[in-house]
Order: sequence, then structure tokens, then C-alpha cells
Amino acid sequence: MLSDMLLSELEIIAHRGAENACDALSIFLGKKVHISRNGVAEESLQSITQHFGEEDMLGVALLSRISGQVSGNAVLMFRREDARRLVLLLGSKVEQVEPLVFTEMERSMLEETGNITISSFMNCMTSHLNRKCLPNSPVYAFDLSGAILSDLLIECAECDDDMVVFSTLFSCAEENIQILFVHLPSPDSLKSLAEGLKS
Amino acid sequence: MSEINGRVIKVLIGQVALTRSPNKLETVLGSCVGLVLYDEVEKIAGMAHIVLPESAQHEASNLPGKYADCAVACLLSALQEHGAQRKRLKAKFAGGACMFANTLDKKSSDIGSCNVLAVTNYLGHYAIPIIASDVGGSAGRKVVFNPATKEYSIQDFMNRTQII
Repeated sequence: MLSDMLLSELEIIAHRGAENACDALSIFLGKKVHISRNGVAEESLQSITQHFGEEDMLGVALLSRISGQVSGNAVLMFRREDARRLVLLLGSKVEQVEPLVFTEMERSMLEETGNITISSFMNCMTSHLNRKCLPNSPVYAFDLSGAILSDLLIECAECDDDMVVFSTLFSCAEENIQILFVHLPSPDSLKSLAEGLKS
Repeated sequence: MSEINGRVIKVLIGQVALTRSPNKLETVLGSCVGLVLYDEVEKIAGMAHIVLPESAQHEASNLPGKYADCAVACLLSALQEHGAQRKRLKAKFAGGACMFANTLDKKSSDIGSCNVLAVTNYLGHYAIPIIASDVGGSAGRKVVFNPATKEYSIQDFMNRTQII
């Protein structure tokens, strides 16, 4: 159980990370992106698997493992329609395709979006605390959101029934695109973050 | 743990739930395992949404279905408390996928197969026959068990459904 003070401090660095990711996304997409929701909280496993909505809702996910002093897992998730609008914005010429299918090029566009967002969030957050992290290249998945998010939390679930969740919802209102970012730091990383906040 | 009548009961991660016909039990699985034990005479069934294989070496949990060993024991005792007979209990299960093999570390990416192995072993330990299973692969599953028909319906993200 984290103290309220530590959670508030984590909120502050999470906000910096979210702002940095928001700026990077705006530049990458060439459109204004806003932060619709941002927070850090201790949540139950059941709550985390429903972050995207009902567990059987389909989602496009870019999942990245974070190594270094602040390790863990991070994911960027879109509704399918939002992911389609995003790749069109990024220059995809494929407008009429089987709804479930993204081409290799489109997947690459989505993975690059994941890479930019996750890296800019994590690097900004950890650099403020003089910590280092290395987000690995995101991997694409299209599946049931509950299944994706449950796999995200497996590692942390070994330690507790509740875990700290960084969650940000980005919106590009002009293009009607919403992007959910979720980061689950490993328990060891939380110690490292707390030490960084003290120093 | 909950026993609710008259609807589809969603079994969230780490939970155990029981129900009788005509109700159904439903969950969504990645590397987790959805274990169902049922008594076809009483038409009662229990589902556990298992996250990890063993409770030993881990922090104690308030979630009865989180670990395979605790989940099997919990299902057995709860079903018997509600009228199921141990000798009539049978098992079906699904899940244990490896959705992000290239991303997560090896330990995490092996969790699905470890969960399946642990469930199989604990069912063997309690001499509960395994009637059917659908495990592995790289995709999530939405599963629904119907105690009235003993059908375990498994649906993937493409809406392909199979019944075991």
C-alpha cells in the first residue's frame, strides 16, 4: 500500500510524462492531441483488466516491455475504428479493407506510434528522477482487451492482488481518435521510483 | 465467491463463481486458465479464473481463483457445500495462451503453459476426470459454460466458436 504522499508525487511525474508523450504524438500525427484523463492509482487485478471497457471488447494493442531501473510493461490501446483512422492519417492508402485486417505497413505505423508514445512518456518520467529505462520495440496485437490487459499484469500479479497503474487517455478530437496508455511498473521499479522521489 | 441466479455470471480475473442451470458462467482469458468443474446430475458448476500456477513462493492472496492449487481446492469444497457429489465432478478448461511471446520475458511468456500444467496436475491429484480442454495458441478466448448442457463454448477475436 503506497502512501497518499507518494501517490501524489507519482501523479506529478506521470503528468510530466503524459505531457511529453502528448507533445510527441501531436508532432508525429501533425494534429493537436489532448490529455483527456491522466492518473496513478493502486488498483485491483479486476479493475485493470477492464480499463479499456468490457473485457470482451476488441482492441488494437502495442505492448512494450520496459527494462532498466524502472522496468515493467506498457501498452498503447485503440479501438479498431480509431486505429483505422490513425493509419489513414499517417498516410495509409488502404481505405476499404476487411475490418479486422491491418497490412504490414499499417502495423508498422501503429508500432511506431506505440514506440514514440511509450518512449516519450517513460523517458521523460524517469529522467526527472535520474533513473534510466529502456522501452523495447512494441509488438502489435489485435485481440480481446481483457486478454491483452490480463497478460500485461501477470508479472506484477505474482507479488500482490493490487498494483500501481499509470493510465493516460489521449484524444485527437479533430480526427476522433482516442489512445489509451497503461503502464504497470514492476514492484522493484516502484522502490526505485520512490527512492528517486526522495533524492 | 458468488452464487447468483438468473443470468450470465462474469468471472473476473482471480475469482471463483458457482451457478446452477439455467445460468451460465463466462470469462475472458489470455494466458490465464478458465477451469470449470461440474456435476451433471445436480446441474451445478463452478468456474475459476486462474492467473498463476502455484501459491507457494508468492504473497498470500484474497482471490480464491488466483492460483491453480487454491482454485481447485476452493472449487471442490464450494461445489460439495452446494450439493455436488465429489465422485460425479468432471472438469473442462481452456486458456493458457502465449499472446506476447516476443515481448515479455521468458518467465512471463511461459505462464500460460505453466498454468495448464498445474491445472492438469491438481485435477489428477484430486482424481477429477478431464473431459475436454482447449489450451495454448497465441490468441485470447471468451469462454462460456452452460451447466444445463455441459457445453463449454470458446470464442476467439474473429468470432470463431468451438464447443468442447
